[in-house]
Amino acid sequence: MGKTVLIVDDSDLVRRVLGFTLKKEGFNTLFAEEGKEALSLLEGRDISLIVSDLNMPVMGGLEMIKEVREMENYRFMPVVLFVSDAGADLNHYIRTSGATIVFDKDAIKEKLASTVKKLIW
Amino acid sequence: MDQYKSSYIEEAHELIAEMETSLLQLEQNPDNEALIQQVFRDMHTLKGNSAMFGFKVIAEFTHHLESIYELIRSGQQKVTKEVLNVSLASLDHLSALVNDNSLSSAESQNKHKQLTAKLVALVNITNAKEEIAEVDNCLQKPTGIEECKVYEILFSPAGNFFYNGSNPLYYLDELKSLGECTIEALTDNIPSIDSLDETLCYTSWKIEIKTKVQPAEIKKVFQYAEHLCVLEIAEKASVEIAEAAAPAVEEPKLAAEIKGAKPVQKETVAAKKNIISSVRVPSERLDTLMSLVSELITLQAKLGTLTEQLPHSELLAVTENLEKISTRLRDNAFSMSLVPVNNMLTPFSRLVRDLSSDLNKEIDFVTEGAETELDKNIMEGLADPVMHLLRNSIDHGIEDPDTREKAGKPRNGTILFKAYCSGTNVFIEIKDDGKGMDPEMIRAKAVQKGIINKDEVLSEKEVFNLIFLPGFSTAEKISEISGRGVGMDVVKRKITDIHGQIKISSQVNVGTTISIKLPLTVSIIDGLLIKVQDADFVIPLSSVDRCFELHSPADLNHFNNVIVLDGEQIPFINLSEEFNGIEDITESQEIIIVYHEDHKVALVAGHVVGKFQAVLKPLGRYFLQMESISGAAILGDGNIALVLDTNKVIEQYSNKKRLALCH
Repeated sequence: MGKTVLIVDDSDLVRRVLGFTLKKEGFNTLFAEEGKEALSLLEGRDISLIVSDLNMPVMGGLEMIKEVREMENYRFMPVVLFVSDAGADLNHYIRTSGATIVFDKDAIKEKLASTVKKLIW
Repeated sequence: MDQYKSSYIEEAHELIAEMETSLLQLEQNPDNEALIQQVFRDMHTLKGNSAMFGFKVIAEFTHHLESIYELIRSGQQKVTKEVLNVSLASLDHLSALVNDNSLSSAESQNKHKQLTAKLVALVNITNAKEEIAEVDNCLQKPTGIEECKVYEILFSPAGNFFYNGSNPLYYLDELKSLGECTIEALTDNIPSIDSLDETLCYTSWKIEIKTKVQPAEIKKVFQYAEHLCVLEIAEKASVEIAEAAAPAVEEPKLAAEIKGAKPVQKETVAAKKNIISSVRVPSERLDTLMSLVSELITLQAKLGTLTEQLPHSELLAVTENLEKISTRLRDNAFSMSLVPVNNMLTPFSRLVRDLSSDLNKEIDFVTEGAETELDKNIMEGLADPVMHLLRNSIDHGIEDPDTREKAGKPRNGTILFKAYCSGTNVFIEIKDDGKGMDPEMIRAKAVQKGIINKDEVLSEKEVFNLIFLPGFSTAEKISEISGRGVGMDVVKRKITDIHGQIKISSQVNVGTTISIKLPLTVSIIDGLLIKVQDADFVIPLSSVDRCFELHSPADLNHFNNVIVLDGEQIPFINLSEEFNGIEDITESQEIIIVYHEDHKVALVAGHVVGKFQAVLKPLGRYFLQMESISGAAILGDGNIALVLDTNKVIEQYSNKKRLALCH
């Protein structure tokens, strides 16, 4: 049984692509459109890692990570956050977001699979 | 990844269309925050997707566009006409870029530069200090140092290292990809078991790595952990520290918070139920469904015929039920391919907006009944002609604001696009309150062009219908926008292609109304099955008025081809004579009254069989010349019935008569 990764993004296309990338590596995938939905999915499941967008309607990535870190079962869960602003200060997000890894959206398609594998191998 | 490219393109086009709609709405209510958010979100998504799929040009361009809306969102910039103009032009450009990402033609390159400059200018006006960040330069390439060096790295994670989900082993793995490593774990700091807090990290690592890369590159591996660890990188040959890592072990706020906070029982978030209210289906599948349903209907008719021949009470009941269900199935399948007219409106309002500002006219585009549904195939065929009609209204119909004021009209012209259902038809009306058309002028023009004779008597309607004849164009000068002389006859032909009818009415100084009558669907029609001698024909029920039995052939006045029914004189056409060249006088005959434009015309046929649900099948190319036949249908007994286009039958007939008179 592969481990389960929760993919959170408001674009259906992105969810599908990331899901496909991770499935190929043998992970199970779960999807949510935004933070609130993601949090509701965490409850009662065994999820090993979250891949999430920063900007989403209803609940964004930062808020979601904050909530996740407060959950008893998930406070140490790796979270890969991706940021789509080209000019954004990645370091700022690395320091403050509480995410394990922060990626550019450009980088994610090359690095995601290998990173996830290393994080929850 | 490539298999997703087409999805990306599809979604990009959708996003662009969505933005266009939102922007046009935004023009009406520039302060609507929900709309601004919507536009911003769509741009953001487009940018993100583009970056992900390597469409750098699009990502960059969208970024500039997005910056403007970022400013609007934060209240630093207003939604002005200029902003909207540039945005809409940018959307068009984006749309082109999605199709051709390489900026291959010089023209699009120029456009790209111009628009980018405009966008940047807009952002800079509002915020002079802000500089548009250059899109990431490529990663620094390692300068050509070829020889391997050995570095000693000390990696000591802070105690709270695990608190953001990190795993030290991840970094060690990453490091291994750079070169040959010898890793040693330093476990001196691990306390005795009773004072051990299992959430803290006590281990450090000493790594010796033999690599070609620069120390900076090594440091980069730890970029996600920099703030959570002490990192020392030293070149082994010379013991001096190559680059002192910031030994800052600042406690991240978050971790501190978590430490302090007692584990709180999270209130359970009610699991959001996912109710899928609609499913997207590729249109080919719908088409397949439709053709299968059509086959089913044909088969069902066959079963009906067989049952009639071999009556059997149980079989009859089953056949009847099957008929009921297949009719419902048909109706359901049809409703599936119905799309609200709303879907085609955005390009129209865009056209009105763009053209009217080009021509310095002020025009409001009003829509009514946008929820009316129409078969998607018909809608596809409708887009071009309606576009043309709108162009005509904008260019020739609506006058300049000044002229309008002089004529006592409001400065703003109005074009009303109205759709409604009536019976088995959908009507589309395009109505403007412009200068209208003068029947006298049209008449004079037609005479001048030799389309009609000088003393031909025409009703007002017939005069307006002249516009639809090939080679007729009233535009005095040929402009880019309309009046190329190919206009209205092409419009009419396209409407006829989708089995529609077009009518025009106009009043000088009040305006012009064009109304298009469309069938609900194109592939299955309710028809009247008739026999002409031994051949079967189907007449669309929508054009049939009444049926009569002809008592004696003497009632037909052959001298002037008129029959008197209910005190009304109606011209008639003998179908048998028309198709076979011989008159059928042996059998009793029946008369079907059909509408041709606004006149009634009687068709004389051998025998009316009854109502028939005809599944229209196209005929091969040998039948293309047969204008009066619009298709074929398979009958229950396997025979083929030809579907008549009564309008064409009547037109052909009258053309023949006219020719006969001339010679």
